[in-house]
Amino acid sequence: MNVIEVHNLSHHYNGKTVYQDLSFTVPQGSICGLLGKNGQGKTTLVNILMGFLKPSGGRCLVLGESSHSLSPDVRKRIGLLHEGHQAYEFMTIAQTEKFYRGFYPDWNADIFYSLVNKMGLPHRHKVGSMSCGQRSQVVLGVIMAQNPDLLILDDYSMGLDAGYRRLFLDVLHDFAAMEGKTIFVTSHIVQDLEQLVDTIFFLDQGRITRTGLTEFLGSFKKYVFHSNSQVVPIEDEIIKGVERRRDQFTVYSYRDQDTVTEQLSRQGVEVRDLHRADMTLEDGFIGLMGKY
Amino acid sequence: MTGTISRLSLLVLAVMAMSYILPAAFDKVVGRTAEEPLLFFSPVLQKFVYQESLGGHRFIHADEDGVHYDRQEFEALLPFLYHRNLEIHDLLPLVIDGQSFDLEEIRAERQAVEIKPRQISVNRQQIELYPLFNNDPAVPMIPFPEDMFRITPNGMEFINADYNRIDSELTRDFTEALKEKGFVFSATVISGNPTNLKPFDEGYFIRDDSGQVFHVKRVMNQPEVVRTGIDPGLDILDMIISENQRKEFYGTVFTTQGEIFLISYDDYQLIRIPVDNFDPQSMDFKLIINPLYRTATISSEQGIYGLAMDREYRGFADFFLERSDLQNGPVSKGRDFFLPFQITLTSDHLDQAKPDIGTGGPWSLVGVFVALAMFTAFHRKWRSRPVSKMDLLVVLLSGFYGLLAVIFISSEH
Amino acid sequence: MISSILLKEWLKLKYLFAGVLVLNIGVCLKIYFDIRGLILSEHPEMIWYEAIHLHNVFFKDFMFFPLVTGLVLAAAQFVPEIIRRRMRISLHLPLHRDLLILLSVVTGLFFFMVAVGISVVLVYSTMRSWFPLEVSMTVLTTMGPWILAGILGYLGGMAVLLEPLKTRKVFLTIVFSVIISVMYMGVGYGWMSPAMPYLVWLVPLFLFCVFNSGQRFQQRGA
Repeated sequence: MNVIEVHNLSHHYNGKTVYQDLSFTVPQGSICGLLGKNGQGKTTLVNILMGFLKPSGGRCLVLGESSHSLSPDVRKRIGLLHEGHQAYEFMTIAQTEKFYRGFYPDWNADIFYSLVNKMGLPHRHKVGSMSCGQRSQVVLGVIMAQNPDLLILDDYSMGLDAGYRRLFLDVLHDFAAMEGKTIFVTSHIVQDLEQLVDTIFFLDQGRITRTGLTEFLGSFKKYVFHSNSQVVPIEDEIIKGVERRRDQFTVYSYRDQDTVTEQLSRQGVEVRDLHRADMTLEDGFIGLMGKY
Repeated sequence: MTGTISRLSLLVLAVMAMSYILPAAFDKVVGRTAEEPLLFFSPVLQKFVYQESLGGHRFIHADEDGVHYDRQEFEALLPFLYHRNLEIHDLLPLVIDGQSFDLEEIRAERQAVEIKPRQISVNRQQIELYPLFNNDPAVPMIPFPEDMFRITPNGMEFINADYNRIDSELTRDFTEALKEKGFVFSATVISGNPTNLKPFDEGYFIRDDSGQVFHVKRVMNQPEVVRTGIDPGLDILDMIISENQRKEFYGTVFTTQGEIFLISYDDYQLIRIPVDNFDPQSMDFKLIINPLYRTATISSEQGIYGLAMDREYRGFADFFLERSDLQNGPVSKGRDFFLPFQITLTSDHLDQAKPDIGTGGPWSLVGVFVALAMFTAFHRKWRSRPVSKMDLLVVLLSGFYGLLAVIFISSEH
Repeated sequence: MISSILLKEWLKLKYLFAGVLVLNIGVCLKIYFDIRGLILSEHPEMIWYEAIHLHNVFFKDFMFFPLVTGLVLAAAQFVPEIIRRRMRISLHLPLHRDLLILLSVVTGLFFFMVAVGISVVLVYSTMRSWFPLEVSMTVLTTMGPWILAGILGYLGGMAVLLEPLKTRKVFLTIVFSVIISVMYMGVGYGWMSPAMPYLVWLVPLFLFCVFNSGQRFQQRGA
């Protein structure tokens, strides 16, 4: 069963086409990361999924309903984390708990307080006077206490230091381990996603590509070599990405080492000590999408 | 569903705001308000003469046969009205038809009464409390009483302003005096002239619950009540009391049916002004009295009717001056074209708000169709989606107002 | 659910509500002392005459306070919601959007009526202590349009705040301002009374405009 189904989605903004005919699905139980460079419409897509933007065309179904007109019953099953960990800053911790409790029949105050109490703040502490990290714990507490079936997280790592990010990931891991829970997440810290997701969506120039994390890390490869030649590798069908630091070059490809070496010499590039290197998700992301 | 209704609400509000403000702004800029024409009976010509405004302090002076006069000639035709001219040019005494009038006579025999619809009690907001001035021959000016009265089903109540309490003594005295004369409480019409800027005070004319009219005065702080004997069957709409040194009549009576009477001194006989088709709630009434004639004029939307009467109020000449049509100029057509209707809250006749919708003429229909055409053309050019039926209806019903509204409040894409 | 919304609205409103309440009571006190000063220093019968026959409204200082109250309360409730589009939090709650907005409106209008209601009682009492009943009763008819202006200002303010598009914000502001200015037409006691049965229909129309802005706020993204 698909939790998210997007068919022929198109969106225009100020007369500019953001995307045309975008289609993908997110099956129940999968943990998906949406990756894309700035300006590729990542925020727009998340906004459409969250129901805060009516697409210009196509269909976007979340839990079987149009995302821009979700019924309260379906909204109850979706946990949203807004960019910048949006929370009502005029509320205290206790008031926040009291506020949300009224809306969710399965509300679990213990989960909320177990997360929030880690910060050691009194419950009458105002959300507005918290640090971004502290606020993120309150927001996480709210979402987890709702016990949603689908989590959509818009750049959860924004403004968080390593500690809070780790804390966040821990909680998400526990959540993901539960039966039938689905997570759709974006983050600008790609490295974190590697520890969380099982499926990746690459959004680039109006196209979306879906791949499994292990599948991607296995098939996309990073090769390192040295070269003093004036000729620099060029991206083509085989060579997907090129990085250079002084005389050390890194190229990315789905192909094996021999094919890559052959292609480089065909391009007239002098190649010394070409070998396959360990590739992180961030490396792969840069290799596939480029830096800018 | 709420989406459609809520956008429609917004369109309705926008059209309402535009139809209220734009025509008013247009009239302010163009300066369309023309002054009332003035109609008089000239004792010199024995004809009606009139002055019509062309706007911008330009006037036409003419008589009922259409003969034009300049301003000086016009004023010479109305010697009683412009007797100051005679004085300045040393033309007194004035001789008309062999009768001679000096300044004193002219002054003593002149009187003008003007009653506008907004003065009629039903056309204005009135708090039913009145000052009853005390008549004391020893006091030359009229001092304000320290109390005001109201008529209740139980009597005539005086409330003292110093204490904001009922003055039981005055209340008892007046209530008893009224009851003695057969007054049936409460009152249906209370008419007086609640100002001390008048030569003397005649108190109040009060119509009781049975239709009888009583004349109530306060003399040396004692009640003075006269049962006037005015026909209780008369459906009196209002009485406008106006103290005048000539002491010919106390004031004017309007009936609901549009009859006009004067209440004469001191016998309270009613003098009928023989005019027909008068509606006191929407027409101005004027009575101009000079040593020779009385002229009644009634102005309505259509024009001004004048009736010349002798000193016994017998009509002998009349004239109807049609209001020159301002509505046919190109400016008016343009106004109708772009502004098909207008919401107004004020009325010339009312001293209170009166919500009303005024519609334009045939040019408004043309405007609506042009707006519709522009709307569909605009849609063909800029929008890929088909024309929304609701927008079309809004433009159809409100012309350019609706066009502006649907452009600014475009539907969701 | 409802108590949660009420809690949220109260938390946003409490300080500014206290502020407008003090402001309203302040202007009522000014009116009280002004009228008392007039009555004590001049002939009361002349003051009565001014009130009754010259239609001098002695409490006209109050005229714009309901409007200010409405605008301040609208801002108190909705500025925190539109900063960083925080209302998305509430819009995602399992509650119909229009119901959510309606609950906010009802809460805001309740506090509006408390502040303005206290003022009406105070002004009425002031008038009643120096004037006959007939005059003090006109407090209600004369203040009616001002209070309506406050309600429309409150709803209009909300609709403008929630509207995402700048040009449309400006257009709404103009339309609402023109309509609200009507409430201040005319002079004297109860001038507007004959129009009031029509003018109250503006309230549901304005309310629907708030729903419209709410829908656009939700569906027009970041």
